[in-house]
Amino acid sequence: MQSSLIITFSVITACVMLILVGLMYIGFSISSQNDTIQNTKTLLNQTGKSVEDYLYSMRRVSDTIYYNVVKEQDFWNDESEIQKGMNLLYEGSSDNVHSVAIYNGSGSLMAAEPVALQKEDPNVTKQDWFIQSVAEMENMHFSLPHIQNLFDDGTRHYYWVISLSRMVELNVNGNPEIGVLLVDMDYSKISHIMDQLDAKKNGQYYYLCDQNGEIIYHPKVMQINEGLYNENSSVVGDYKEGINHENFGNKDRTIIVDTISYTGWKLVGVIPDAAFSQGMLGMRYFIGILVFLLLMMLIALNRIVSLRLSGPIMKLSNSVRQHEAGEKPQIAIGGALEIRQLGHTIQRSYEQIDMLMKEIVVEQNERRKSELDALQSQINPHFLYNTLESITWMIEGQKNDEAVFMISQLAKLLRFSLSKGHTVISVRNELQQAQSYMNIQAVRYKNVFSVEYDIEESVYDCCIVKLVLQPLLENAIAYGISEMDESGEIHIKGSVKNGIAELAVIDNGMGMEKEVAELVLTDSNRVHKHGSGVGLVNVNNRIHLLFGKEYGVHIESELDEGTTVAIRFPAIPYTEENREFIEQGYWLRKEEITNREMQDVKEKKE
Amino acid sequence: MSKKKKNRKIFVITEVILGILVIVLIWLMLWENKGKTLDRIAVMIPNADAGQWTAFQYGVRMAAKDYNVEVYMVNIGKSTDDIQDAVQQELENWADAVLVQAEDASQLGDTAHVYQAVVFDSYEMGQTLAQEIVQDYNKDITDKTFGIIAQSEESESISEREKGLCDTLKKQGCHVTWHLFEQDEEAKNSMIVGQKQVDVVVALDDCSLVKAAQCAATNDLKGARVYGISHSTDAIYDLDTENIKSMVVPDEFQRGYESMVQLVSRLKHKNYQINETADTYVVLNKENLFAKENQGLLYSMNQ
Repeated sequence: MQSSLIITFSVITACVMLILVGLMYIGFSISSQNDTIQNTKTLLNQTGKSVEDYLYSMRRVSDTIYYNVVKEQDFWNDESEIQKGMNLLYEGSSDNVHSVAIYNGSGSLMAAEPVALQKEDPNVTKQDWFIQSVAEMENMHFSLPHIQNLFDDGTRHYYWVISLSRMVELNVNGNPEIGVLLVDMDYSKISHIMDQLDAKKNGQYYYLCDQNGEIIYHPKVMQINEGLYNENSSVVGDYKEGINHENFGNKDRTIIVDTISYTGWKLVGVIPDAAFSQGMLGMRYFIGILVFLLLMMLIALNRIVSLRLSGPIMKLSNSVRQHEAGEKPQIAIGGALEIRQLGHTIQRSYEQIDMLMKEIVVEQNERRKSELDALQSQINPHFLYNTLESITWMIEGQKNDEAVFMISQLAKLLRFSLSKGHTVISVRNELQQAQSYMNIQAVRYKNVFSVEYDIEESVYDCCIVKLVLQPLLENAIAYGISEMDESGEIHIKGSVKNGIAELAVIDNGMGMEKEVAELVLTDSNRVHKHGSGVGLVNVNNRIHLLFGKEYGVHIESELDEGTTVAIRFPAIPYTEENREFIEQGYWLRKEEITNREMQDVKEKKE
Repeated sequence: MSKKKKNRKIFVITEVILGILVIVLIWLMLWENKGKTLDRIAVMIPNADAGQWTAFQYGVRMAAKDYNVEVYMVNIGKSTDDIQDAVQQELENWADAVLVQAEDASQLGDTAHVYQAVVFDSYEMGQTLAQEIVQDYNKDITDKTFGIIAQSEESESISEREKGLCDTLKKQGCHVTWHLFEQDEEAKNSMIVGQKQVDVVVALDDCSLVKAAQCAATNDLKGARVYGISHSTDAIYDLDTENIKSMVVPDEFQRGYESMVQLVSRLKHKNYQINETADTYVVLNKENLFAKENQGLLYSMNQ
């Protein structure tokens, strides 16, 4: 019961706990993902703003050069003023601008800052920035990052720039001409802004591309150029601003896109799905620890609770089991109110059972006594009928002295038979009673038989049911020797062996067949030749009632040889206590009584 | 054993097992928070500050970032003793492994955890350069004369380049008029000027090529075309200014990157076999110098 309680409680609580922890983990995981995405979006917005500000400032430089310097001056007359104006603007933006230059429509350099030697025949008309400006005159154009190969500043170094170019109108000697204004932006500025984002160790990174997916900045731009790494920028170029999901290189990724205004450039944040789970590893460990600690506590708690619940029930169960085994322990009462109530109920039930048992015993004793009395009352009329019949016969035959003797013996017999109303008497009294009876019968049968007594001394003081010997003697006379001529012998023998006393009536009469002898005590429907025929059965029943089935009447007979009828009963010394004990029927329950007495002694000792 | 005792035993065992699991998880969590110690690799380069190693170092740094290892560049001398002293010092003080850019693998000695950077197939580069020269002359170079300049003929890579070059030229029926091996930069200038006039001067290393370009700029080579093998921005500038006709440029970024990748693989898997050669190089001339496909190469050389 205890283990079942622990297992049940533990399984249920563990399941509930796992479900709760699972839900908590999923919730936390989703929240963490959302936070990561939200943080990335915020970061992209901020960075996008910085890039936009930088590009806007570059457009402002271009506008200022065009509208304040180039458009207001004539290249033919005011070249030095133009150079001066460009120099001023360049110096103001030199941190961000690598160079500014103005080319005419045929690609010839008109002015440049800082003043530097133009390389021999750079052929700008074939360069992308120039081509784009001419193709779309109304817009400013931002090129992809490239090596600037226009000027030689003598450092033997090559610079990485993004070219901002636009078509401009030049005044040359009063004649308007088209030209291209070029502002080469220092790539390191954009690179620096993007580097601020810095790639995280969980695999998350950011890059910048144009609307066609051509990469402007990427933390692994060289690896991509060398074919060591692939980027899905050509597809991302078509993505709309916001959150997108893709599978690239067999990896699921979340792509967050922020568009840079005017240029159409796209600032891209890449979060591989693995990045979400990577940050959760510590959380998983923590949840694992939490789960195991909770399990430990729950199992311990379940054990305590189940012990407190099952302990009193177990004790109650054990005491009930002891009761069933015949012991009489105190019913264990403890634990919760309900269990205490149960214990009290069981205890009351046992007390009621005990009381009922005692009542049943008393009722049984009463019933036994009633039966005994009934049997006893069957003897008296039977005997009286026979005796009075003999006395009648004597008086009719004028045998007054014999009749007087008979009546005095009958009186003696009746006095003994009263026995102060006791059912159990001593063997001595029973023998005296038998002797009176035999005296009566001797007169009646004119001494055709002789009676011999052979009684061991120890038998005299044993307890016996009264009036058990007389029916045996009556039968010995009636069935054994009544029809014999002065040769009848009746031998009354008394002995004690192994605690069992025996009174035997032995005659040398006609005897009977073995089969008939066996039916004497069992076949109550037999038709008797003499008397009522209830004598031996009556005796046997009365001994059974008081001493038990193992005692009673035993018959041995042989045709023409004689019959021995023995009464066997326990050799209990005749005392007033033993008499009452037997009469109350306690002899039959003596083992039960002995056990109880021993239990009482034991309890008293405790 | 009574049921009560059995229950108690199961209870104690369960609690002990759960307790052990908690301890293991706590240990794992602490270990995770502490973070895995990065492998530390010292990259030793002779004259590391020279422009010719910019791309190589950039490649090394990018690979270190990609593979999450810590790198530190160490400037060393060219002699074997200098290299081995520096290696011992780094291994004792800081590094888990050392990557050395040495002229010759034998300079590394037998020390464990010391690896030579990936090298180019020098013979093939020599061959490619020769083919470029042949191409420039429309395969009509039988009567052309050649002069070859290098810092040292003892260098394995230089001798391989020379062998590749000469073998190919020889097949075309060309004659190498002179070889000049000189490490002294100052002396080299006058020695070049003092050589017999040739149609083509081929420089097999960075310094020699830049020196030859300088001579060409001052017309000391008397109109000879300059070719060479180099990966420095100086040489690129000379190509841009047409003092060099054409040159083979090994992709040092990829070599640096590949060297680190292989070394990291070796550190992680002891049975990993390092592939010691790389074959990425391009032939640059005035026409394709700023072509889109070569922009990346120039970018790596200018980091």
